[in-house]
Formats: sequence, C-alpha cells, structure tokens
Amino acid sequence: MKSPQDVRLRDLSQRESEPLFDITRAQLRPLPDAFTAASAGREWKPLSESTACECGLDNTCALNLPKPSTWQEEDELVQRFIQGVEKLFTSENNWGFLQPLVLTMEHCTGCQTCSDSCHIFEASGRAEPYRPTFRSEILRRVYFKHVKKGGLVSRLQHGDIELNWPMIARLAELAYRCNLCRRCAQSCPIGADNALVAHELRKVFSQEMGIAPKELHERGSMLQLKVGSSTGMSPRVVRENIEFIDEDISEKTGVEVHTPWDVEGADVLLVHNAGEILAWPENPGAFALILNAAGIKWTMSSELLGYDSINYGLWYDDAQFARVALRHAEVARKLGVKRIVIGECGHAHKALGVIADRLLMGDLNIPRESSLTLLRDIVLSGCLKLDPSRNDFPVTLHDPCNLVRLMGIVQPQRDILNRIAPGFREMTPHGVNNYCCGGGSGFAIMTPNNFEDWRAQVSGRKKLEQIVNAFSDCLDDGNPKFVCAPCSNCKGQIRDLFVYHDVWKKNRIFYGGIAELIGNAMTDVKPGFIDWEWH
Amino acid sequence: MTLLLFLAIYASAACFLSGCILRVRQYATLPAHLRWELYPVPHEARERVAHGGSYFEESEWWTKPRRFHLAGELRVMAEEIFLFKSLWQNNRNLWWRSFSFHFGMYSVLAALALSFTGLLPMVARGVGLCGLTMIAFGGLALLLRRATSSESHDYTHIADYIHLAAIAAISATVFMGCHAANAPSVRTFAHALFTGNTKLVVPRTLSAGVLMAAALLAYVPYSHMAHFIAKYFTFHEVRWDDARMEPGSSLEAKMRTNLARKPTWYALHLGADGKKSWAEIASTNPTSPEVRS
Repeated sequence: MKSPQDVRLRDLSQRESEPLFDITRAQLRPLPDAFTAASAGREWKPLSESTACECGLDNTCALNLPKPSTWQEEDELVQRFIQGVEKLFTSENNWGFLQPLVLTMEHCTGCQTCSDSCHIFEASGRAEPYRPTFRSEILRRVYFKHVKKGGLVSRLQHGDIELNWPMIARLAELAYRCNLCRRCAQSCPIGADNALVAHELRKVFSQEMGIAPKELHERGSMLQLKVGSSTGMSPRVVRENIEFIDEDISEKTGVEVHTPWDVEGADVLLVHNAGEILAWPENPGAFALILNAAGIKWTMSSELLGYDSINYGLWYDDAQFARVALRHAEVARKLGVKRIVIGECGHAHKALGVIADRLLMGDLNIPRESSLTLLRDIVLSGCLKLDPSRNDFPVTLHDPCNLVRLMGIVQPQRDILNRIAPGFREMTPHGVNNYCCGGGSGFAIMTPNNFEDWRAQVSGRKKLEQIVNAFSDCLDDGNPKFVCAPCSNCKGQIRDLFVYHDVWKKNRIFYGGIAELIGNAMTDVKPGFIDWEWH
Repeated sequence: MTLLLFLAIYASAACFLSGCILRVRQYATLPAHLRWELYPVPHEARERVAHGGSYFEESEWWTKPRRFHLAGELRVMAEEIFLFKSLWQNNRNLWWRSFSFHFGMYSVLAALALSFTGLLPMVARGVGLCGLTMIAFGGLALLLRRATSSESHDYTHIADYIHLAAIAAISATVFMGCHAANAPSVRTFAHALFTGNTKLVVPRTLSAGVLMAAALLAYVPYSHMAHFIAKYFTFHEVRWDDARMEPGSSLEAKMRTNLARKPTWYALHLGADGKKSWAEIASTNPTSPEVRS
C-alpha cells in the first residue's frame, strides 16, 4: 500500500484488490487542539466489503461495486465505460453540459492552482488521488485517446492511458470523493472546472453503466419518483407528520399553528426537503409559525413529489434530475400558485432555481424563489414582533455551497441574522469563498461501509475547523452556541460531525436552521423555541 | 532567404487565423447548455457584486428588470487579462512566472503596434526588448517549475516542456537578432513584408528567430496554448452566464431544440432507445411498470 501522497495516475490500473492507499489520521490535517485528543480515540470501521466489492482506492467504499467474475465481463465493462465517455461528448446525449466540459477537457494547464482550494485534498494531508486535477487528468487522457482518436502528437500533448477495469472501478469511487462544491473552479485562472468532471463521471457511471450509490438512486431519486419522497413518506404519511408537527409547535409556542394543504391559487407553494419533516420537525414548524404570523397566503402540496424538494439527480444523473424537476413544476402548475418557495435546502435551490431554469418552459416556468429572501422580507418588514435578546448566544453561519457560491444568495441570511442574533459572527472564509460542510453532493446521506468515518475525518474536517475557530473566544465556557445552517443536507453533515467529534457534549455547540432562530426571537410565542436538546 | 521568411510568415498567419476561427467555431457552435454559473458574477448590480450576490437575492426577482453592470465586468476582465488577478490571489508562486511570461507577450505586441505607427521608435524598441526578456524569463521560470515541482509531475506532458522551451528560445533568438548588425527596424521589415520587397537583408539570427516564431504561431491554435480563446468561453459563456429563461427568447428556442434531441444512454432506468427525446424521457417515470418492462 502506498503513501497517499505517492500515488500516481498509473497506479490506478494496478490489479491488486487491496486499497491503493490508506487515509490514516496521522496524515490528516491536524484539527484544532481541543479536538485532537478526542478524535484520536476514534477508530475507522474496518472495510468489510473489500473482498466482495471493488474497494481498491482508499480505505472506504461508497459504491459497493460487485467484482466482475470473468475476463469477458470485465472487458464488457471497459467497453461500456468507453462508450459512455464517447456519449458524454455528443450533443444528443449531453447537450446540457457539453460546452463547459469540452472547455475543461481541452484547456486545463495542470497548474494545480485549484488544489489548495479543495478542502478534501487539504484535509487528507494532500492525498494525491483527491487532488481536483487527478480524476480530470484521467478523463482528459481518455477523451483525447478514445473520443478525439488522437495519435502520436496527441499523446505528446496530452499523455496516454491504458484503461482496464481496476482503473475504471477506482475512478468510479474517486468520482465520489468530491463534494462538487466547485471551490476549485472558482480559483482556476483559465476557468476550467474540475468539479464538473466529477459530476460528468458520475453521469457516465449512472446513465451508461447503471452504477450509482444506493442512497442517491434506489433509495433516492427512484424512491422519490415511486412514492413521492426519498424519505419513503407517502402523501398520507406526510400529512399526518405535519399535523403532528403543527400540534407540537402549537403546544410549544402557545400559538395555534396550522399548515394549509393544497390551496389552489395560493401566493406561495412551500416545498421543504422532506428530511426536515422527519429529522428536524422544528424547521417546518417554524416556517408554519412565521408564514401564518406574517399573513402569507401559502400552502403545502400533498401531490406526489410536491412535498419533497430534493432532487438527487443534480449530483449524478441528468434524466433523474429532469424527471423530478418537471414534477415539481407540474405540482405547482396544477395548484395554480403564484410562486414556488424552496425551504432550507441548498441543493433543492440549485436544482429548481438554477439548473431547471432552462428546462421549464411555457406554463411550467413558474417563478421559484428562495425561502431566505421571503424570510428576510418578513423579518425586515416589521410584521413580526422580534426580540433579538432571545437569541443572545454566539451564532455563526454556514454558507451552503449550492445557495451561495453556485446561486449567489449571500446577503438575505445575513440581513436576518444581523437583525435577530446579536452574537452573530462570520466563519473564515465565508460567503462565496466558503468551505463545503463535507456532506455536499449526496455525501450527507451516504453511509455505506465506513463512509461516515471518511466524511467525519476527511470531507468534514475543514468545516469542523472553521466552526471551532468561529467560537474560539467562547469554546469552553459551557454556554450554548449555535451554528446556523440553512440547508438540510448541511445540517445532516454537521449533526454527524458533531456526534463523531463529541462537539455538543464537550463544547455546547448546537446547530439548526434559520427559521428556528426567527421562531426563537418571536415575542408572541412562549420563550424557548430552540430547546437545546440534542436529537 | 528573405522570400522564404516572408512565405513562412504568411503561411503562419494563415494557419493561426484559420486555427483560431476553427477554435472559436468549435466552442461557439456547441449546444446552449444548462446554467452552471459561479459567483461572484461581475456584471451583477453594483450593490451585490462586492459580496458575490445575484438577482436571486431580490424577492420576486422575476418581476424586476435585469441590470447588467458592464463596467463591473470590464474591470474584472482587465484585472484578469493584464494583472492575472486570480493567480495573484490563489497561487502567488505561479503568478510572477505567468505574469512575466504573458505580460512580455503583451509588451511585444504593443511594441510592434507602436513600431508600425513610426512613433517613438526608441520607446517601441525598449518595450519590445523588455517584453522579449520577460517572455524568456517567464518561460524558463515556468519550465523550471514544471520540471522540479513534484505536484506537476503527473500533469505535465512532453509537449508542455517543448512549448515553454521553444518560446523561451524564440524570444532569446529574436532578442539577439534585434541586436545583430544591419537588423532592419520593425517598420522597415513590415513594409517589406507587405510590399513583397524580398531584397531586404535580414540577419541570420533574426531570420531564425522569426522563422521559429512563425512555426510556433501556426501551431498555437491546435494546442492548449489556445486558452486565450477558451478563456472567453469559460468566463462569459459558463461562469458568468446567468441569463434566465424568458418566454419567447432565443434561449428558449435553443432549449426546445435541445429537448428534442434523442439520447442513447444505455442504463435501463433512462429508457433511452435513440427514439425518445429528452423531453419524452423527462416525462416518464422509471418506476412505473410499463417503463420497467
């Protein structure tokens, strides 16, 4: 097994089934002092699937790819991959991303400026395969050799590559060692986008080879298209759950809360990430409380998919993406609402707000708006009675990549916090230069094998460091502190990070959405909307 | 000899121009893509550019007119083109090498332009020679970085070394050629080139330098050195492309064309048989029994 820093491109084709390298904690970027000791006690779960599945990259495994049983099967998989890459560069199959992809393929100079922008590369102690250009360089060589059919001159210009199944299997895993946060693209002086390459590789594996993480495909987009939500909630179940949340919030706040369903012609169709309803019910509860108090004519939908804004296709499959986006728009059209307001979910914002923008035409082009702008307008309008002193504890803000760097929604959440949270302080860096939480692009919901160890130790490491540094003046004072993360997937990742590193117990750092902070500041309701109970 | 030199320059210019046109055409004719912008977008309204905000920060943004802040975009372009700001911010070790290399090229181009006018000949000569020095220095510095940095090893190809070495060598040769006895001025050389005066005597060193430069120039559009073309597209057509879908717009027409395209992806859940369009595939549900069968 090689040192992570010494792995080279050609090593990916090695036939040994054991992982190429081992990400051990000794090589990881050191955590702040307060966490070094606690994290050192955590052992990674052993990779038990490595004998039956292709887990030959590092000491984790996201896909559980079965090993081919014959040479013939292996050869067919290699050919299938090459055909998939060829399709990736045709207008018929990939018009949606062809131009940015071709530009990235043909003009990355390999200057490595992007490497220092990548939180995964940095946190791993600069493990070479996690370098943003590593997987791109492989695809680039495949592109020039098999798509452009380059000869000797091309090999001198772009290098050569010998594809075999072990390399492709490792490349499939490597496509899931990138959060698609596109911080690398932001720093590229040419404008190349190596995160896009990870995205496009995922598409080849899913759309051509039927390979995708179960959490994103079978238990994600397929389940959503089948029953209405990737949580498995049917329309009946979601209504029951929201009814329960309404009762709970009414009791907690002393204000009668009622969520309207399927109101035709409503001003706002509010679509939450359905994970909120199950994991953080106080968030949809706070929304109901706020929208009712502000007098907004709003509704939720009990149509299939109408109550779950998630769209995992954004991360791995264009067809699945388009199917879900189309249904979201159809639900809104059927209800005749004036606008769709997307709850606190970053990737849902990006999916329906930005990527789907050029797919939705005619009467499906229903305006989509962020809940953050709506909440900002409500808070600043003065229609709610708010007492910032109820939020008189240190608060920092996590910027979800999809909302901020990839969509430009930066200020509304800050306008809200500046109004209601006197202890608000920024992370460093923040805004469009933020770091991903480490759960982006589906990682927050992916748990195969020991992937959670990898998430907590590698992809989430930089965010943990940022959070700890934001509270460095009060880290050990025993008083509660709050990380505001207006995104469901980010919250899931931050929750897992905090559990893994024992953050709540040791440092009293809690997390939640922005609606909860608004609810907590409302003077018309009983104090204590945020109950500081870990769940 | 002079005739050969002039023919090489003409051929090189033809190759370069046609190569550039082909490159532009290649990228410009690719299908209109889905939005993939990255913030900050510098043509956003002034009050939002500083923090990287977008029009999505406005409530009911679709009811408000788009404001295109051209001056903001031009400022960012100028900083990037002339000062290499993103490298300055993100890779200082590369910046001084790249800045010297590229700014040297700008200086040579400026000197050539000034020489054609006949104004300030000494200034033009000084700027030109300074530019050649910067190119040679920057080229060697870039070459050294690629040759010695372990992080460049897997990502540098033989052609990358050749490109940089050739450019440094050409700059040095032209520099020496300019100092050769009887070296014509740029203005005299250009006049002879355009009038076909092959009686002009060009010193051998300068001829060699110009010949090599002509050969390289002809090759540039067919290598990733054409990133000066790509950069227009990566920034204006991708990173800063925040154009929203407007009913009846040309963008909508392009998207209708795209949605009528017929993919052939192999995985079963797509149901892409080469007959169904993207629009039809998006309208199907892969979990319904008829699609699965």
